[in-house]
Amino acid sequence: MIIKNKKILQILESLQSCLQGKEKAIILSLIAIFSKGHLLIEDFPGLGKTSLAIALSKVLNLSFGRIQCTNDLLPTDITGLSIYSKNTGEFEFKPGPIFNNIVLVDEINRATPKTQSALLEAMAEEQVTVDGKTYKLPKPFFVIATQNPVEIYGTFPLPESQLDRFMMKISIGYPDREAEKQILKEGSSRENLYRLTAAIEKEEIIKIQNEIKQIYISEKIINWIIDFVNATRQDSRILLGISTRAALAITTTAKAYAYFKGRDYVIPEDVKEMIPFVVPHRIILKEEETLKQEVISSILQGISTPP
Amino acid sequence: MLLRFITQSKTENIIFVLSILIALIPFTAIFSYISNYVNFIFLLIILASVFLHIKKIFLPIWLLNFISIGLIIMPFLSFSLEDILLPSIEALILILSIRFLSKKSSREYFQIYLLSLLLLGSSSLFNISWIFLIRVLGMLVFTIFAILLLTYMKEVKEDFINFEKIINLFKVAIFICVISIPLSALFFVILPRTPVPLMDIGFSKTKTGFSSTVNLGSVRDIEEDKTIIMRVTMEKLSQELYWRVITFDSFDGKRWRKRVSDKDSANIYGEKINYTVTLEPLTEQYLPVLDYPLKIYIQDISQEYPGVYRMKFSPEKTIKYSATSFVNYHLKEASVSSAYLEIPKIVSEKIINLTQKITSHASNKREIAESILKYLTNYQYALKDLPTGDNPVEDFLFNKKKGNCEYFATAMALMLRIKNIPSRVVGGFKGGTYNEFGGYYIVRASDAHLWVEAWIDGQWHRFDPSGKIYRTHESVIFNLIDYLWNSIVLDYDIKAQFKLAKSLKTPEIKFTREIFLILMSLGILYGFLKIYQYFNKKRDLLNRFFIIMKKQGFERKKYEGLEEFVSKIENSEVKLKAEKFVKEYEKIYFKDREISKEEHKKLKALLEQLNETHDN
Repeated sequence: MIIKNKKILQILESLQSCLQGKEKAIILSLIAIFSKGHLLIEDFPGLGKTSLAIALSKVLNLSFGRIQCTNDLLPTDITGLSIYSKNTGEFEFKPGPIFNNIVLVDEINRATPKTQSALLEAMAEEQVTVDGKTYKLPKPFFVIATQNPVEIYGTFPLPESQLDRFMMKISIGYPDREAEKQILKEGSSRENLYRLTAAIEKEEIIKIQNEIKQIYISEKIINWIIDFVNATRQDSRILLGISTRAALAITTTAKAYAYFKGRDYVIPEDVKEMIPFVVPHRIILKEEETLKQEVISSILQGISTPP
Repeated sequence: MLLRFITQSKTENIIFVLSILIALIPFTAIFSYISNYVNFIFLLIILASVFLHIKKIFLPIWLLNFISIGLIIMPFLSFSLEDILLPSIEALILILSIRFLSKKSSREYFQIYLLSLLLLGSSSLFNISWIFLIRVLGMLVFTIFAILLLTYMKEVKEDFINFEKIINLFKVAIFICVISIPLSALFFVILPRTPVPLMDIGFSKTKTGFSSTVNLGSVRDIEEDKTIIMRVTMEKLSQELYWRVITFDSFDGKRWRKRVSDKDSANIYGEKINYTVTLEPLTEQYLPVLDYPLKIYIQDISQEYPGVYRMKFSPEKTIKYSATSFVNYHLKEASVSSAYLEIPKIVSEKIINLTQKITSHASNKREIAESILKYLTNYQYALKDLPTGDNPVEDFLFNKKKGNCEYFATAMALMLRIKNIPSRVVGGFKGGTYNEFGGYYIVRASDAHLWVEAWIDGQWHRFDPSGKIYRTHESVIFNLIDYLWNSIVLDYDIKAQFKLAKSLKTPEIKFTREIFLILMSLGILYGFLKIYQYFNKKRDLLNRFFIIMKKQGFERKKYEGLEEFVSKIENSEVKLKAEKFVKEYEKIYFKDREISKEEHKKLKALLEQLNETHDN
């Protein structure tokens, strides 16, 4: 992934110190942020999911909240609650960790469905309602949720309809040998993370988001995306095709990617690059054994790419 | 920018509506000639097809075939051998309608256009008015537009078509039509043709303002009949024109006939006028001429009587002839037949007495005629409530005291005969409207007229007891279009071609005309080329790119994006150059821009470089 946009390069440069082996994940997270979507990271513990979230919040100069999910976590632990104040004699609203720009929801599949849905509602509406009062969430608002792929005990896996709320699902993966070596040499550097300096202002993030919106996408590509979406709906291996929200996610992320690449128009390759991160978590296969990535790439090969 | 997309189904709707329009154009031309039930079935099927199209139901092929066979056979059930053409056309239009019922791919649409074209061609068997030209033009624009749309949808394989693109395609269709007009004009001039139509069938209904007998009182609505009888190309004359067609000599009390057929020799003096008549086949076999004719130039005619010309065959289409006539003439005949003095029994004492009373002061024949003429001016010219009964002349003279030219002419002729002056009634047309733009007179059925000729002192004198009362305004422009269409298009035959070819041989001016024709056709070719390029410019470059890459052993798979394709190339030099081209090309293609001249040049140069890499 070669990034050519100067502003994005600036951000990446600031993240240099904690980039080891996580370059791709960081770029994808940035794409999700700049296309105003939420991110789901599925990976094994200890590969740096939390570090990634913290580093992003620091470099983007955004407030950071963290929710560690357990099965006794209550919705109010996320949203906050009204507490009776002795001094004033009134109920005072204590905002929860969700009132931050970047919210890291660790191990989301450990939370009970009730808590999950409170969180997902906040993600969709960008507001929370506590005791009948509605509170707006800050802007930009961006959730990074993580889940461990192989856990069985005490988890409540997210249903596919909920997964649709996440614009992308990525994994960080194991670092390569060189990167791992580097990490071992330097030791855990959580403190370094908090020392990262801001590379961009909040207003500028919103500005970039708007610039990405203006990226030109040809109707030829839109038609091709629609072809692809329809193919997923008709494919015999897939139980349920992808939604229009998913198709929208494909175009917005492709636009963001084109922007990152320093272009003001989308080419089919942008779309192809984004599909593996946007589509798989939204489809259910009829047979569990087949690989989602394989199904998707075979669908892509079945339709002709413009021009 | 707000792009308005038109989805494929909507484009299909547009094509469907266009096709219906295209089918209706020839239908409007022939519906009045073919059977009513065919018209009814045609419209019914078209309506049904619209319904089916909206509901997206398509009938199975076997059912359509079944219906087609039935409908094709039907028109032939009641046909006669002589008239196989009409049922064929009816069958054709039914087949056309059936095409609308099936599921329509571009193949079916092309069939619809072809059938419509055939039908439009066949409609020219019935009627060749200049509206035909309008129909051809309408069909040309619609068909080209529909074909462009079909081809676009097929070639580009996109579900959407840009609204602007539709407008552009329509503009191109109009452009093609506009530049094809001079081309077809060229073909019109140079293609060989026969002087007679290949299939000459007389479908024209005989309506006429003319009859070879005149029945008093049984007048039809001639005065209202605006049918054009003839057009006469000549200079405008200041005097009132009389167009002689036929003379009547014998009156039986109700009806004028022609009996005398002696060809007496006559001497004529006067002012000569040359003119050309374009005559509709409405005057039976008689040829109208300007009174009084000297000579008429056309084959297969005979002079029935001095001044009366008759064709040997009844004409079935418009004929054209030139003639020479005298105006302000003196027509001298040494003697006349006694038939011009015959008085029918119906002429009563009352009429004779009246005649005597009117002419009592007249001392010579000339004065007698003048006094009769003067007396009749007291009578009213009328078209309705005409005198009738057993003795219509008496009814006219004593009771009604009004009538049309038939009564005036009859009364005067009889009175002249009572006074022993030989007289006859001449039938023909009076006046006509001069079209200043075209330089010709138009004579209509409503101009039909009767007047009297009296033989006084060895000369025939014309007397017109009933003047014409009114004259309506003519729509000059439509007349002119009609006339030009007739004289330039319909009359254009091999003779005219020879004439043109002969005139081309003479040097100077004619030589430049030839060059002009060549230049024009070159110009048209160039125009077509430009359009072709306009559509191909973008695709063309990409195709060349693929051809060059293929030569070098790299073939793009359908599902590969351009950059994806290029990234797989191992040869770094080729890869670099190909990447450069692809990047430039994508900038235009994926931004949906029109390619500029410089960009085209640049891309071409990049392609050249890429091609040269291979050579090295």
